[in-house]
Amino acid sequence: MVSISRVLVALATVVLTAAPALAHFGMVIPSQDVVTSKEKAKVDLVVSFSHPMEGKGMNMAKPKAFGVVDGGKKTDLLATLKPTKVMDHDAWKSEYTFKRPGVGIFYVVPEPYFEPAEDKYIEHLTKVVVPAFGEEEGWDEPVGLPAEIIPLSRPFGNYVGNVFTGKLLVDGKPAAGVDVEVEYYNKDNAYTPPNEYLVTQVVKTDANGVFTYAVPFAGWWGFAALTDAPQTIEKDGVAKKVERGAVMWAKFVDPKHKKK
Amino acid sequence: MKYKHIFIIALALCLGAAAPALAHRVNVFAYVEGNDVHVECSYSRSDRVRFGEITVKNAATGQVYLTGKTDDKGNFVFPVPTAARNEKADLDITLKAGEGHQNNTSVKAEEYLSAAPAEQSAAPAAPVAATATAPTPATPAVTAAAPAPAASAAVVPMDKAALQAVVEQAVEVKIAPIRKMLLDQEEKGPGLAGIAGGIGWLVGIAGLLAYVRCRKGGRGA
Ligand SMILES: [Cu+2]
Repeated sequence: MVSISRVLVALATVVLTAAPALAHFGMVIPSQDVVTSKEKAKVDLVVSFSHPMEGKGMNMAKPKAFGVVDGGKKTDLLATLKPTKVMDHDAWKSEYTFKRPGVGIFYVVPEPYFEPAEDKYIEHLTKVVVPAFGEEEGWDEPVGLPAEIIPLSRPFGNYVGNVFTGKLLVDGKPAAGVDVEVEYYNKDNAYTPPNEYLVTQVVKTDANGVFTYAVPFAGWWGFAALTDAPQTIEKDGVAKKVERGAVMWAKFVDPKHKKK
Repeated sequence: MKYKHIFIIALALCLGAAAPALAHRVNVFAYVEGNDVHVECSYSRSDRVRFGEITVKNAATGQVYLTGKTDDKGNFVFPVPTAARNEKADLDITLKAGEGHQNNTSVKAEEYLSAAPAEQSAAPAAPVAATATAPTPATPAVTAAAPAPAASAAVVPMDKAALQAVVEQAVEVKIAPIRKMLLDQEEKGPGLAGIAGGIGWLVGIAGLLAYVRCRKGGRGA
């Protein structure tokens, strides 16, 4: 004889325990990883705060800053952001047309997001690098964010199986021993992680703030180096911690096969 | 034997010499401004192709319209050739920057026709037909698998005992790993959102069970 209370306890427990497995990621995903032709020089950019492997969205407030750095020149694109939906939740989109050869480092600074389940704010400073028309100089330029991954591997034009190496700078200095969460943008739920450990993978930065990850399959991969911001944010009179993530996205591709 | 060594050294020299040339990919990019075509030639942003040879041809026929050299900043500017304009020809622009350093690009007729100053009216630049692949939303926001059996059981006609068996089984399957997780959870304490969500679920599930019971009751089971 099944008692209702037992059912309820079980179901409630499922709900309560489901949340902690998810890892949040700031995301900025371009429609093309590289721009090679003038006919396709327009790149759509989608900005969200999501759980990329599990395809679960969260509502994202309008970012504090959004722009592109190309050849040391910063262009504010905040005004170009329009609302959209990602994984059924509020997100932002924009478009950017490359008119000249260059390397566009797109960056997002979000409004801090309060996560009740973790009783803290989360702020993911997120980047993606798109090169255009053969240019590639400048992919390792810092944007100057308070926490930032500086790629040591060129963050575009990579095959699956390549190693991605990056250096974490916090306030401009290498940060050692920091967890870097790695997650795949599992678009349309194409893959199923065999177990919860394979949703988010983790590597750490070494003494020089450098981390390394070998990419196992094709698509967009996100690297989120997580530190606590030095300041807190007050909520209802209580100071809350702020998780500050330095996030970088890069696409890894399979080679094309010769048509038989 | 001596020749063999020379051969190997020569081979090594070749390989050594070939690599930088390949790595030194040369870029040529052209855009239209008013009546002029601007050509930019570079190895990279800071390393320009000085005095590279430019050939501008009709892309279809190969007819050469003009030739020239880039300046010390890797730039070359030329007015759209009248012949090309008359033929509405696509332009093929080839850059030769020394042995093995060659690349080409094109300027489609519509690019300079639409950018032309006076004679050509309107016709906005068309090359913006990028494939828009914004990430599509996937899956609803529900993780819990447990409610599913109960929900489907509500639709399928079933006697009370069978229904209970189904629910109980489903719950048992879930509950074993959950017991452990529940313990872990107690240590940490559930978050506010979790509690709120959980209460929502409880209310929903209670309603569902009430409905099922009500149905069974109505049929006098
Ligand atoms: Cu989350």
